[in-house]
Amino acid sequence: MIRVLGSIAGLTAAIAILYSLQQTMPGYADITRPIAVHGAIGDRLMARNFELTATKVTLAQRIVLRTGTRERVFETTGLWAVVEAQAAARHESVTVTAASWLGPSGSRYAMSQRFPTMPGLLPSERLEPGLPRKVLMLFELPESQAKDATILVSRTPFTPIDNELHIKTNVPTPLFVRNVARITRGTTPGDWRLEIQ
Amino acid sequence: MSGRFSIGTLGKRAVAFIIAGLGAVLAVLISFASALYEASQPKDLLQVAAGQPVDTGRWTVVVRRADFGKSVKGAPASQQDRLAVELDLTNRSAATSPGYTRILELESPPAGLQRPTFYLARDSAIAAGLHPDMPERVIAVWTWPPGAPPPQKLRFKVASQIYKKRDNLYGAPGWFPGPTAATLDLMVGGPDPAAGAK
Repeated sequence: MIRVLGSIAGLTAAIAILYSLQQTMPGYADITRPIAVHGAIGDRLMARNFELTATKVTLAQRIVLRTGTRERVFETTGLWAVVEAQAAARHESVTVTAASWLGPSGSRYAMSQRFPTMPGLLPSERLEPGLPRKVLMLFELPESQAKDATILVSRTPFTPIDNELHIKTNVPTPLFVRNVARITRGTTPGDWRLEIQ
Repeated sequence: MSGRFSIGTLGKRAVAFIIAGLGAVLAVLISFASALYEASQPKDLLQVAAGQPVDTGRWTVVVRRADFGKSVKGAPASQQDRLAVELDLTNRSAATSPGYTRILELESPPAGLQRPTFYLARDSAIAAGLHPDMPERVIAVWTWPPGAPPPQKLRFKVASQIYKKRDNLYGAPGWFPGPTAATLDLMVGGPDPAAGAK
């Protein structure tokens, strides 16, 4: 009788241990998750192959791209977040293609892909070591996601076991939403200017 | 040989094997029978009309109207006949995604029909990733094969997508094609259900 009880107890314990191992096993996404580098607006953050300093976050109702005398207006149902930054490569030329706005609810808003010809955007600039340049990141997001957000920047959208910058934003309450963020294309290629109205 | 079968004459090992074998056979039978039963009882597919929202898992879709011709509202002009379907998409997942391109499928497409191109209704630009919780009106445009009869009544299958915490290959989380969520009947050139509402 005691031997039977003992074997039942052993079996139950084995099932419990195996179940808990199965439930707590880290998934593929956890094993290969990016390595976070934390910081805030104004901090110079170092990733493995690039460095970036986010300098300013501006919220705006619409974005205007001005080329010569022609203006193209980009409207949204939510808000635009315009993030200005200084970025450079560290050891060799690099293009940083992925940035998202991680809202307080945990939703990730990837950089807007509505501007194929906009100058100065982070993914379209080739960064060189030792030559920091001004870049822009444009996000489209609902008003509720504007506060307490983190900007995530990494070299590619999927960066297994590589660095990802986590930049805490400082959007004040109540939200200060500007009317227009106007990006004017300069006369030389790649030259641009940002005005907030 | 005693001539009479008795469990007692078998070894303990053999008894264990027989019990395990019977269990396996039972498991196979039950799973086979339940698969057969489920296949024999197809669930009624949800039938929706224009203007009714459909929850497809990853997206909420409201199909609004269909247009046919060389110039369709919301898309750049073209020399070829095109079918344009206007729909409102809301991303219900937690990340920006362009994974809506297979959401509508014609039930009986003409031969040679390619996949549609999606345009944003607000500025006729090609639609890319749509953001979570931001409803967006898009226009799906199919280039109609030359020679195919122009459509009048359309029947679409609305595809669903399912979230897997661990996929079968890597154990990585992701969204995968699911079963058809609904069928949708649409008249070409029908009235705008929300006309005047906005």
